[in-house]
Amino acid sequence: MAFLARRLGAAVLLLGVLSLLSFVLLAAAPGKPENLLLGPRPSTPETRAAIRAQFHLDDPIHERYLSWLGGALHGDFGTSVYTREPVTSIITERLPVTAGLATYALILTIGVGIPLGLAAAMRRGGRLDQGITLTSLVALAVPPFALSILLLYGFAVTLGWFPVFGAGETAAERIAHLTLPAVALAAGEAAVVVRQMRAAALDLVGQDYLTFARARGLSLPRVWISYALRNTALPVLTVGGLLLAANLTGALFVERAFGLPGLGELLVTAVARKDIPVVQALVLLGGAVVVVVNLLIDLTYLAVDPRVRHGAVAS
Amino acid sequence: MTSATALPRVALAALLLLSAGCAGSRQDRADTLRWALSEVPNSLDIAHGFNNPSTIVQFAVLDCMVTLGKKGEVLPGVAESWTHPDPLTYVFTLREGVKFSDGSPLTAEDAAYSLSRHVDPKVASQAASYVTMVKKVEATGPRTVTVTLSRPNQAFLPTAALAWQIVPKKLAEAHPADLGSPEVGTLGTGPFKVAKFSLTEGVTLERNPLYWGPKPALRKIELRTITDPETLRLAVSSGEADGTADVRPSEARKWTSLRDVTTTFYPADNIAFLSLAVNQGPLKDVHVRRAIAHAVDRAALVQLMTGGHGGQADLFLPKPQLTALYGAALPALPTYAYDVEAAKAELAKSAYPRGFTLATPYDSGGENVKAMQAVAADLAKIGIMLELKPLPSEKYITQRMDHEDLAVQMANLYYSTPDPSEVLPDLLSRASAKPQGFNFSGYGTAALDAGLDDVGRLEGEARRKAITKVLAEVAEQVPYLPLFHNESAIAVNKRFTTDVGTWTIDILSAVRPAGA
Amino acid sequence: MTAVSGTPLFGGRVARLRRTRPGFLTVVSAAVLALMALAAIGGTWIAPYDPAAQDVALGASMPSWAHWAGTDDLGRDVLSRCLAGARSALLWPVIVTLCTCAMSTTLGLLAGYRRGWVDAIMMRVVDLLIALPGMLVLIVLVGVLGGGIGWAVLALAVLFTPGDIRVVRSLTMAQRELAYAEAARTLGLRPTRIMFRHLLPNIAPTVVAGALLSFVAGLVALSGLSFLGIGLPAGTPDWGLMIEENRTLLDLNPWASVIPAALVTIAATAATLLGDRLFERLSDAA
Repeated sequence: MAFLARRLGAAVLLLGVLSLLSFVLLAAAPGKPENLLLGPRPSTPETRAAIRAQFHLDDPIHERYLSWLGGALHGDFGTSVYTREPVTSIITERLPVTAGLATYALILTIGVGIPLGLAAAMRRGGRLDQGITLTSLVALAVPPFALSILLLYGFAVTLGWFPVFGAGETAAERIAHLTLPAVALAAGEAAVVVRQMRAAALDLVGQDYLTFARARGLSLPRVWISYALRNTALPVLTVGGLLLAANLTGALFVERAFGLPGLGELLVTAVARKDIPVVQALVLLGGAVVVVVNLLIDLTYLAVDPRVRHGAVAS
Repeated sequence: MTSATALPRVALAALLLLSAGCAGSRQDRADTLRWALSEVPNSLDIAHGFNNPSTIVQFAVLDCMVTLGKKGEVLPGVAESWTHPDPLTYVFTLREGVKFSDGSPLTAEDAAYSLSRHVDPKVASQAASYVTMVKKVEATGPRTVTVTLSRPNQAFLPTAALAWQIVPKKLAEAHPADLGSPEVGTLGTGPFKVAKFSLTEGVTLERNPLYWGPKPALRKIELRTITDPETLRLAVSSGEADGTADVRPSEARKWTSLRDVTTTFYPADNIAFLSLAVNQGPLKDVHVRRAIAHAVDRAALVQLMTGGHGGQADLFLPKPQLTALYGAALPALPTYAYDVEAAKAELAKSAYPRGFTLATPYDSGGENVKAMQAVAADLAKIGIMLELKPLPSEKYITQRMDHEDLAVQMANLYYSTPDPSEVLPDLLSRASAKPQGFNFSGYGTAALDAGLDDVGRLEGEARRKAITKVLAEVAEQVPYLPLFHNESAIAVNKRFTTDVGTWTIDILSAVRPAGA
Repeated sequence: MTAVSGTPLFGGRVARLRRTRPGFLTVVSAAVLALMALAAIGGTWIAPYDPAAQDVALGASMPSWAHWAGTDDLGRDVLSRCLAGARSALLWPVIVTLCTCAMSTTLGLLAGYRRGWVDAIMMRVVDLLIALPGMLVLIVLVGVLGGGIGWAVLALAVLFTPGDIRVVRSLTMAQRELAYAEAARTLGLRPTRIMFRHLLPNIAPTVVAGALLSFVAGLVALSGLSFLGIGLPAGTPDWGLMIEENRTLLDLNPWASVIPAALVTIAATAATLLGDRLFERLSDAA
């Protein structure tokens, strides 16, 4: 319990620091967001003052932060200075795209990464292992946005198998639209899982219980799948969780390359427009995702592995 | 975790869209228009929402005192006629029997208040700068409204076709700051009335049965916002949206290649230009400015920026305004043909024969990134080096409006009336050469200010001469280098036709079912 | 004195590294990186055209004899821009790497050697920094600060440093307990001297291997920022910027964005491979 409390405390601290930092940075940087709102049209000083008053742009910075914080604690993240939509509805409108992409990519990552990693470990040193290891090395290095362009050109422009831009509307369309972006996002992550899985599985080879299981006459694949998989579950779970967090907060390159209206794209435009309420909410959301994922990983460790549980209590 | 809650959302959205798709096949939707906007209409009142997505809705719902005809001429709107007894006075006579869509009659008080509210500081209207010349608005009879100007201004009537939206005085007085918001809404005498207005779910308009004019061709209009330009294009292409007016000229190629979608182009009321800040550094020297004018390959810029849907600009006014003013016979003023040798010769006459370097900030998220590169490459040929400095949009605009680091800036400004008074004073008067003003060149003289006053004051041939004189000074002194004007476009699918031109104010009413 | 400096500085590892024959892929990777480095130094001279020369009338065109990789929509030669772009694409990541190494080594040595409150505070800060969603922070930071490449480089170095501090710290903690460090302390040498003259050489190979990975991360992140239009001024020949500027030309001349995308990919792969192999050798040798 003390462990949980401490973790929660750290999480709140992290979110607080994150939100304060971004708020101060954004607010302290000189700028006048009302200019964007008024567009390329002459305006009178009264109009400009009225807009600044409406969005509290001239209040002292601590007051603005506190009032923002007060609203945020009640689930009200304010109104976008630029589009004037409520921030929560802007985000919920775009969340499905990013969340769909992140989930799709995670499914691909796990679905491809675990079998390949296991296969490489089973055939250690063989052709298959070498091939998989090398491929994963390449996949690890490819920047997702560069891969996006290559995929776009290969599969969407040249072969015409997939749509080029946009997120699609119906469920089937959305899957078709998200396939290439998900592949672009998953490639490097699958490589991480492959390497993790291979290393974890190889670590197990020397363990006594595996030798014992073999001695009992269990077939090789059976041993690998039922023992190795179970015992490598934790590290892979950790990586999977971290990847999900990374997908949710860092898919902006892929979103940009494929013209997907997701959260990453929103962040980039909101920062350029100095749309503080939107940026604040996104930073907080990103921080929360990371914190929650980390917390869940720790809790899973606690629940699954008695060794960790006792260790945690002892410390 | 987040994704777990999002998946049902996606599925639900998909189901809803599927069912919407089935409904779409039925014929009872022939007079329902689904319109796509690239941004959210934030207010149904021009005082708080003077932007494209908002005004397109406003003009379908609200009538103005007057309106514009096909050639930009001022035509009767809610006012059936007007007189102009002296240069400072306009007397409008209202149509009889005009009613707001809730059934209440329109009074002269309503009409008068609808204009005077824009100068009220409590309203803090975004259209305030359009009515600075108005001194007094009075209801001088049950059907007459008298406007007194503080100085003669030819721009008053055409701007009244935009800014003088008629709303009920009672409603507007009760909500100075939030008329037109989703909570308050608005009430108009126009062809449509608001059935629903939400910042997130869009706007639904229905035919106003009490409308005084001809019965609107559409029964219902559903407006949705799709911010991503590619998604918007796909939505129109797939028939999910019936049309949009948010076609970027630089993307014309992508739109014209769509099957089943008609994209109509018409001249936009715009002018793209380079402003050359004349108050400091090398740009102070008129020979340097002329050298720049010769060095920029404007024909190439036109090709790059408009893809054939535009043309080179030589005079410092939007093309439709020039046409409205001069017809086909444009005045012969000095022009600067693309000629590197001539540019070098001009530069040799200046104090900087070998050129110089200028820091040039630009909007890294804006539309002119490529064009600024082209300009920089052109100027490099004569030794003028532009050091391009990328800035985020907000920072760039703030810096520009504070008149910092102006040097060489590119702008493409869009206007709404056929009157040059909307353009020239903002860009050339000494009054707007200060921070927050639009005179980015900083050029200005007492004589030019007097000339600009003449443009606002005079009428007919005398006015034409005054405008020509101002344009001649710009051509001579090159505080601005006109670059190009482009076309705007409207795209609709086969189920609808449009009749939209440069001066169409109510775009939605200009869309009608095909074959109707 | 002699006894201390006579301790095997690189352990036996470097000798072992030299003795084992590098694999085929390692050689290829090194060669690719060397070629790119050459392009970074002299790319503007080998380029067939001036990378900034425009021919707007020509516009975007497919590869031809005159332009082997075609042109972009300002009519600039894509091949020349790719050659010239190596400089900015590779130089800035190198600077990021140097900054990261300098900061992480100094702070890691300090924390690992001094322990105590210095270590405690630094580790708290490191924990916090590591928990930040990096990309998010980077975009906000660089976007707000005005988008200059200098800020981007600095921000990246700050984001990369904490992870490396942890590594250096744990290595230092192991090394400081070894006999030679003990001896140096007994001799009364100043801590800074022990840290930088005696401990540093022994952890250097790992630092170098880590630097290669920092370089990859820097390359990917910086070209990513250019791709978002943040950092470098428009028109600079740079791979990331070329991908972004020519992304909309996929139907007119796909090579204008595909080639720079491939170049970034190849550079990143080669450096990762080298770093990976180096780590393998180090752990085998250890």
